[in-house]
Amino acid sequence: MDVADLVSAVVKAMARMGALGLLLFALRWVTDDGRTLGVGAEPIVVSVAQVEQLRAEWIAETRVPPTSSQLDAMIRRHADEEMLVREALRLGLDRSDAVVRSRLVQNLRFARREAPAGDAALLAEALALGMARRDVVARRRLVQAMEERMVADLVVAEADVRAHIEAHAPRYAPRPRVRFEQRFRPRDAASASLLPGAQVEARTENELARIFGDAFARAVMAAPRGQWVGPIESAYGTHTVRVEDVPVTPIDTVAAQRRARYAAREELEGERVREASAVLRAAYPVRVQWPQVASR
Amino acid sequence: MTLALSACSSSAPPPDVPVARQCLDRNPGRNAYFGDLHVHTKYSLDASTQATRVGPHDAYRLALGERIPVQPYDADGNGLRSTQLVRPLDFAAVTDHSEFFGETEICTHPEYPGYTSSECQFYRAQPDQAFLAFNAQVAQRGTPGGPYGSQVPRLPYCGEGGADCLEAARTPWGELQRAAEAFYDRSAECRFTTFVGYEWTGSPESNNWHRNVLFKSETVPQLPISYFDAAHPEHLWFGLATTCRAEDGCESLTIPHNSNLSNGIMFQTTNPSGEPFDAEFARVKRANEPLAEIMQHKGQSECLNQGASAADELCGYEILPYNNLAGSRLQNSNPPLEGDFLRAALKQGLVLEQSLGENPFKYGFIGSSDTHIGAPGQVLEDRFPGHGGAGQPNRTMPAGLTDLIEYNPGGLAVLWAEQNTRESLYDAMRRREAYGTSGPRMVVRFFGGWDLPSDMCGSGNFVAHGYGLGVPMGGDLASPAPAGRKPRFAVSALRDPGAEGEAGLPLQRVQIVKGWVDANGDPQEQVFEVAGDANNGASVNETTCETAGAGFDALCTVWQDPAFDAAQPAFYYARIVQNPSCRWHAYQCAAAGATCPRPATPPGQSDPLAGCCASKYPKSVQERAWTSPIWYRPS
Repeated sequence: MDVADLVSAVVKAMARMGALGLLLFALRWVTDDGRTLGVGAEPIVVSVAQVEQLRAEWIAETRVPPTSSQLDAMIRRHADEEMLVREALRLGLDRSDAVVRSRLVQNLRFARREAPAGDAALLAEALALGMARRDVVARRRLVQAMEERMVADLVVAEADVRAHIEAHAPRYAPRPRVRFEQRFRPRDAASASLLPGAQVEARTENELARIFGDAFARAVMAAPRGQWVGPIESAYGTHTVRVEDVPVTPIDTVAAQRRARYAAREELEGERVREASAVLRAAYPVRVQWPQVASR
Repeated sequence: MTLALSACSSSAPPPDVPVARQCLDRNPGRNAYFGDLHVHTKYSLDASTQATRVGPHDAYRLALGERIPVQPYDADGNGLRSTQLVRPLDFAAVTDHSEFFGETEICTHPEYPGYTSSECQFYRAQPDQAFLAFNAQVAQRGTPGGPYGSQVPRLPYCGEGGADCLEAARTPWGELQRAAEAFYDRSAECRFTTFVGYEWTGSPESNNWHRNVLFKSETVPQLPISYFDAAHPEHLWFGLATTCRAEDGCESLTIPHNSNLSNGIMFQTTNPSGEPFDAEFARVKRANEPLAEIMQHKGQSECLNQGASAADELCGYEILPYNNLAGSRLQNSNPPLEGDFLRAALKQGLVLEQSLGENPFKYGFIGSSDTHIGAPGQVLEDRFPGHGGAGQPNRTMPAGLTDLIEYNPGGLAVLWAEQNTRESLYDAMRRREAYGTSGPRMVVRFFGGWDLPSDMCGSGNFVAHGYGLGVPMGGDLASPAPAGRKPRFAVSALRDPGAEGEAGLPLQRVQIVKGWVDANGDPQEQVFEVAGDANNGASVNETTCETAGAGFDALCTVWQDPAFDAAQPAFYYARIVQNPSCRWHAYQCAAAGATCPRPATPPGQSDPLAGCCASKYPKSVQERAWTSPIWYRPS
């Protein structure tokens, strides 16, 4: 590992994240156990078999082979996960995390049914076997625990909340509503008495789609206002409608901010994990062993 | 009980949310809302497919109809794939397995804000009894006035200048709550409702005992009670009664699923000590569990096409060929048990009620997906991506089919409620005014009463008569029965109106299933055809999946029980059946060009398309809806 690489990655990330916060964050990684992060760290090797397995998983999920950028992204993610697991082990999370501990103990208890042992003894044995690294549930929990640490001190400012609402306006803005009168010729006599009648009150396109189907809902929303329009087909027959807009209700700011506070947090956390992972990557070189066949 | 996302003590609470919010589509006659109450995301660590990096936020966005990226991601975090529902849901609950939440972390790590809470102090002192004896924290009072009344805010906000005190421990349980908060529309738009919940994953000896726990509001216990904390459902309920109390603004219910894989334990009639139920035990069970999943990814739990239900050919639908969770992986070949199905349990409930005075198996029905890839509502047969559940790793699955042949895309939960809010939807669950579908969105009403007019269907007042003169699905007929009278049941069904890319199919028929206890004390059942036409000749081409034949846009009828005996307890539920359509694997087998019989495979390899020719998985199915029952109890 090249310390210069690490410093350069930290500096780049600092520019994006805010100098002091990231410096403190990066320093924590460097000095956590008193040694420089990753110096002499074993590279993460993605073997031929693992590359083939990733490709096979992709095909199993999508039934088509991955493109090279998709495969690259999967390999990088696989390597990132290994990186986070190694960091977690370096920080001793396999010993301290309750989920990992109980999972490992459970695994060994299953294997050691005939010779009951205390939890502490089983845990020690599991750790000695390197089980935390290989058990899929333990690995995922270690990754999760690492991500939790990466975002532990994240703060969401009011400005972030407002910016989030603006950036995702369709999620927060009230939807257009219409009311309409209708004349309905059902295909099935039974439909007529079960569907809304001659007057339908303020409804959004979604609410209309739930009742009549989305083709009808779209046609109603698009219909010229104030005049009889038709025939419009729905799942149940033929309609003629006269549509009026309903005045748009103003956005409920309090309700929107209450939601956006958490949605913004989640976005910011995602960014923080990506940036922190980028810092870590400088410390864990990755070697990919591509299969010999020109399958890339 | 401490509130998981604890307050900043120095800040003023925010404006309160409305206690009695009026949604713009509020309807006293109730609307049908469609949702999925069984969803797993990346926080269910046992989700075995690599695709599961979808978190609760992504799952709710998907449910809302947004296109969400799925892994893998490029260097900027953009997904190289994406997924989207054709039609959004109205509500959803992410219900990850609480056994993997590690909540007890907050009680064992001093840096977490909850460390000093009374709950955690007790936990550290007496970890084995912690869940049985927590005292509830008095909920803080909201300020009166303000634009929204005096609702106590569950998640106070610290306002300007300060630390954001909405964090508590960085744990999955906190994340689930935050995600639910991020997508619950508390405005008058009422566009979407989330519920905070989790799955209690009890599986003694691989026998399924699982239940989802749902909370009515954002006020939830700090430590969700998992199977590690409470190894019997009864202890779970006791723990919930202690840590989630109405006087603190917390309410919960539990919804069991996959009784079909319980190998006898889901509907056993003994308590944890092995003694037969008593009345109090039965009452607690019923009070906690108003609903059960009748349909989901791992099969249908309505009825088995053997024994008492042998004559009901529709009970052959989506039956798994084994009877517990070890079936798919460990080749458990023990056949399914009749008693594991809800119809049998409902009958047993009537029998027990006669001796105990309480019915412990009084379940209404919902469907849901049990998706393990964070994809709520993705229940179409066509283009089914697989739900990756039940420990089946995608990497060892045959490349030809996206899921195990015996699994299915799952179903939906439908609730009749005045409006799309937590209070209204939760109350619908409590009173069982709910039904399940196998995926489609047919709209079904079911009423029972002594005085329902026989011309209700054409009257234009179907709903008013139903509520005014009878009880809706999930209810109890007024008792005693008026002398000499027989109950009437009115059922109406509108075909799924469909959407572009998700065509709705015509209905074929409506049935009413009756279960009762006869004069000898034996449970009985019968299926009545009440509307539509079982022999309408509708069909589907199993290669092209094109449907053919007429059906009904709507069916409505008022049916009277011809064999009603006022001395015999009974239940009645409606089953609404669509015209035939392709099962999910038929689409995939056709796309793969699979021919039958299958060509021989080299030794050591398995045929990825073998399921395409397995006769016990027909390519043609009839999707359906099941209403919650209406019960009659002789007084």
